[in-house]
Amino acid sequence: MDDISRVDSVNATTSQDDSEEEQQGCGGSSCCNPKSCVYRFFGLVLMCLLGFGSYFCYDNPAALQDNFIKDLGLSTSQFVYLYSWYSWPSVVLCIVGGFLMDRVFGIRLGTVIFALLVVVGVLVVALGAILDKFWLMVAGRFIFGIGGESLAVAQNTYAVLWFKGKELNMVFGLQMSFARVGSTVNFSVMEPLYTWVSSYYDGYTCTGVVLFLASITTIVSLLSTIILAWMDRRAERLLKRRDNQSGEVVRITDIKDFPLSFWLIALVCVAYYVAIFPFIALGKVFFIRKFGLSPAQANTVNSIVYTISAVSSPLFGIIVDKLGRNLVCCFVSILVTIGSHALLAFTFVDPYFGTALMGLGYSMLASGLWPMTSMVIPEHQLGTAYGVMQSVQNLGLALITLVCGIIVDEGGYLMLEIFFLACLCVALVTTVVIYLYDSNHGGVLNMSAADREVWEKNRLSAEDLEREKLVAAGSMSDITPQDLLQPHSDFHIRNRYLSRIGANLPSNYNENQKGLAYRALR
Amino acid sequence: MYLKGKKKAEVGHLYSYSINTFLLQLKFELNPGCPKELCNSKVEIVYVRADGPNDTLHYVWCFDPKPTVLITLTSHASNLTITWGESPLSIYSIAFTSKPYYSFGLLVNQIFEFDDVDDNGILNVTNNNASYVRRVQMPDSWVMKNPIEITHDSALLVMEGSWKNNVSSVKQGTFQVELETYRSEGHGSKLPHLFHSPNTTQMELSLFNMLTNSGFKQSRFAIELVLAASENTAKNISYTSFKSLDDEHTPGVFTLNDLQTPASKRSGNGGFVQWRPVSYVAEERDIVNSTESAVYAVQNISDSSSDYDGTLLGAYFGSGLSTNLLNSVNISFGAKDDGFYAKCNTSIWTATVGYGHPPVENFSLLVILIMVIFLGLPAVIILFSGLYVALRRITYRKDDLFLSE
Repeated sequence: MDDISRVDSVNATTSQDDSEEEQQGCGGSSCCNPKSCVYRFFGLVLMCLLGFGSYFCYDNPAALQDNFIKDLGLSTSQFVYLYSWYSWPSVVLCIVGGFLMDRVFGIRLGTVIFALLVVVGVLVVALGAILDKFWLMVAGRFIFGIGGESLAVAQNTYAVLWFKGKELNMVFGLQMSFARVGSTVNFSVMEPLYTWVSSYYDGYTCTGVVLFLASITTIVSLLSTIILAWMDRRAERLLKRRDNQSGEVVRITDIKDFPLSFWLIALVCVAYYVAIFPFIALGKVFFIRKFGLSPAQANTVNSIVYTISAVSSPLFGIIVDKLGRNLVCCFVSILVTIGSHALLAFTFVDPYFGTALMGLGYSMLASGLWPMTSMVIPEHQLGTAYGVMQSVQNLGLALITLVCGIIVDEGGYLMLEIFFLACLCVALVTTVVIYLYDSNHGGVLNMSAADREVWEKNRLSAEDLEREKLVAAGSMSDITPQDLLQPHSDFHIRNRYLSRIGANLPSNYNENQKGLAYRALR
Repeated sequence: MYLKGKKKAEVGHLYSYSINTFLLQLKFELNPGCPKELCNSKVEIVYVRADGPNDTLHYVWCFDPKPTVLITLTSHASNLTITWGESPLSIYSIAFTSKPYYSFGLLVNQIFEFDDVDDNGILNVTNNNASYVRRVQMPDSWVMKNPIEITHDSALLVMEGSWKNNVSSVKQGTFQVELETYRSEGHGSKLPHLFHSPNTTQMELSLFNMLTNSGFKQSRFAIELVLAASENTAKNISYTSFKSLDDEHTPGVFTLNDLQTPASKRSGNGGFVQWRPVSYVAEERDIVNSTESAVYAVQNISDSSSDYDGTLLGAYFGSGLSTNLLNSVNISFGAKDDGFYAKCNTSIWTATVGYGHPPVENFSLLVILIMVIFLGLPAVIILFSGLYVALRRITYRKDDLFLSE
């Protein structure tokens, strides 16, 4: 692809001078320079930490299931409320959270507010336990759900803002593995913590105190959002970062104008995750009865998916960063997952292989799929877009989990596996459709990393060009509107020439592709 | 392993079809020929006669003193004769007018309660210590729970045994025995939906609300089955277990277990017992309410002098018991981490008892159809879109060439 960004703008040079002055004021050390690796790495650590608290506390009830049921006198169905009141509202509220973040709060304030909601929610749950008021706990889980899911949306948006371009896939992988670490640490820490606290308190007070202690993690997350907000502000000021440069206003109705490729990505997301999470939830009996494992072994096999993904997602992220070609990556990872499910469904091969393979496919998909959204949606709408995606995923999972329970009880695990395979096939077909659609619309999703870099540069310089022309338009009256609208790069001049002389342009150069290098004013 | 099972199925069907493809008639009789003063309304013996095209299968069910199922194969002309007297049944009081071709009997001999201290769901057969295992006598009172349900396709009898009369033994709990026989092939209406043919009787044993031994912390129950067949004693009944990929009919259970007499194994003209290693812990049956069942080595009963006097087996085989094939096998209910019997106070176990080769299930048409539709269709779509992409690539290149010329 041709690089059209050779035109350096006058403004850009001055802004660079500014930032250099500021940096010198800070002593010029690398940890203060927002461009330096150290600064960005520290930001990455904070980004991972900000989700840690909510992932840790989300599974507190599961880790202490027996104690919860005994101390608070819950029935199994009441216990399930603790999860359903978290997840059902978030089906809608993710969109709202993401939208508010784009429109009202901005990402920094938005993240802090969501983290605060998480802290409040978790504290209310703990208070409910101490007072032995179940409705208060459920209310707490509800608040927690609003904050927690939107926080995940904010986490994605931050990652795109800071790392788009070179390391984004790896950062997504890393965030996911950190989320897994959060929930794993919870499962291994809560039981001993409960035992320790139970030597001082007993009954529901004990559960409450344990939950209060667990909520410390969310306060840590809150602190990290505050530091991150400060760092982000500083980076923005120093680097004159162009987020929401044109002051574009986000509307909730923008959702309907999201490109088709975004909706297809969301569909892949649902169709794929549906074959992973419900399977893990229902897998234990399957491993015991079909493969003759003991309950403890079955738990290990089940958790392998997460263990492997925690290790391999950052690695796959790096690979995708180096290779680009996210769509091929998704396609391969869905194929791998189909293979793993087929292995579990149609053979008696040791399930360790099947689930290990599934873990690989899962982590590969996660690091390839989520960053694609940031390539098809403009940055100022990213919060809303990630919110929509999270909502669609939550809704799909909630519904399909119910369906899976029915399928197992009526038709058995073989039917369930066939259902999962069918879902994965839907995901696979959708990936192909995205590829076809995308290659007709510029093909950014499946570019190699090098091509994508050029593409991104071109896009930005086209914007610069556009802005400069607009600025210039005020002072110079002799410029025709035609000149304003057409950036005169070599690339365009050549194209214009070719069309004048009647040469056939390749289809990817055609007129409606102008958006590639020139973004319409809105 | 699976292939072996499949092969066996084909052979099995061949044989069983030659005996009873369909039944001409299913006749149900309660206490046949019993004088009123002896039987009143009590259920002593239930007799089902199933006439096939070539021969007749007779099912005789008896509960007092021990639940027993007797299956005999005779010619059409043969009839059951019962010499009624004071209970219990005396030797040779059950007979047929002409000598049966084959007879196979199953008797639920005993209930065990054992203390599963290691929580592994396995009964240690060699440990007879009273602190480990308690032998529960069979119920002393049997009543019919529901009137016999006879439909076009099946006949169902539910008997409830309790320990009302015996003060010293268990006072609480019921031992329910459900027997059902069928006119045609199909799957049972309730989980575990075992497969049955006109040559089988389905037997369901349920232990409800049993009072567990106060000395045992982690009680589970087990039963002892005694199997008798009109075959020689040279070989024992053999046990086979095979796994399939398919759990369509019994969700979450992939294994099918068979006990076959040597004759059934050899040529498909002997008795068999078939079950899935599952046990339900509630009347509402689903995966959540299921646990496993375990089976133990088949043992030969050599000294049977008077143990089975008064039971249906004793009344039919008489002193012939010691010269015929007579084996016992234990089945225990429960598995690791299921919370023991006390969690739900219920253990339900289902098996089919029949004549011929035990049937083997294959993928049903439904499963195959679903697989073809849901997996084949996307494969076709992907193939075609792959072709499309390849074709388009080729035309793309042409354009580029044209431009560069």
